[in-house]
Amino acid sequence: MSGDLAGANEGYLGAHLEEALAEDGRVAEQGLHVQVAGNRVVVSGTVSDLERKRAVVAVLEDLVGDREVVDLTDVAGAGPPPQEHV
Amino acid sequence: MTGEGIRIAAVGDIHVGTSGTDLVDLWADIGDHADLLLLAGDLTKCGTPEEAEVVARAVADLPVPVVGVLGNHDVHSDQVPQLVGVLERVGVTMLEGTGCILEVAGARVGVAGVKGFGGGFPGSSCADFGEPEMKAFVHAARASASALGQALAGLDADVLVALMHYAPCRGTLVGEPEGIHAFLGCYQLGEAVDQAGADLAVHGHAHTGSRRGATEAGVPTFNVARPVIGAPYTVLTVDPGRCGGRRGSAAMPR
Repeated sequence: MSGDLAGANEGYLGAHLEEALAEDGRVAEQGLHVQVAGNRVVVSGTVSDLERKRAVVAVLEDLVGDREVVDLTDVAGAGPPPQEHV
Repeated sequence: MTGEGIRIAAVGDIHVGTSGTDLVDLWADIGDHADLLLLAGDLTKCGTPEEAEVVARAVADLPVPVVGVLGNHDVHSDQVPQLVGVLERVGVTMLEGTGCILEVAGARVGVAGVKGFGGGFPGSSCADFGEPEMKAFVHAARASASALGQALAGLDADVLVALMHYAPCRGTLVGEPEGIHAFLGCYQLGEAVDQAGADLAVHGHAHTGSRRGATEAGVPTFNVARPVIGAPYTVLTVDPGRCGGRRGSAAMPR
């Protein structure tokens, strides 16, 4: 997908933006959720690292014109390995 | 191996790009925690050999054997042979409808792997009917499951593990929107796991799913997608003395 989506119907804009995040090589994440509410575009989900988190915002800002992008994404954890006994 | 059993480290969906997180640091202590490492697909962001090189550098000097399958991200750039070649050159055993045996502390650990595919689960699965595109989708799922079943059947092991990217059961998808379950896995993979009497199933792909589930025949199944486990890997400890009970009993799904 390419092009400016600023004029897209709000009902479809979230889906277009989720597809953009999956298809843009800077991000390439399929598990992100985008919610559009008026002038705000809220993105959530988990990304691999901080660079990818910044790319999410950059991709969205390229597409949504004057809307505000609110980044609620998490970066995948780097904590101690969880243990499971099978 | 510790007194408790064989320690299997596993992670999927690391989505490595050509810059960013340094996995060498994240996996540096894996020898203290595990006897082998399973990679459950989506090792790269867009499936390029350059991204695979970053993964290869991270695993090249690990003190444990590494076995992997590809995920949908890894096939995105249509460079699968090159990507697999990069990983195999540093000693990773990459599986696709194949299996391997690892000798771990006197036990034979068999791992069979496929990428797998979508298709859905009982009550909402796709059928081989209608448009060519739909038939191709279903054929891909069935072929992948069949390949997994054959690979599992060919392994004579004390501990038998099925490694996939896509999910073989619904339980580990809890948390994902039900509307996309058919794109996250298929019951045919679980059927293959059950028919082979595997001891353990491991997959990724479902980033907002759940860590634990089971196939229809009760094979413990773990979703090791990195966003789910919240760590660079999880450790599954398996007691070889408690394995093998499902094999030879034709453990058929309902």
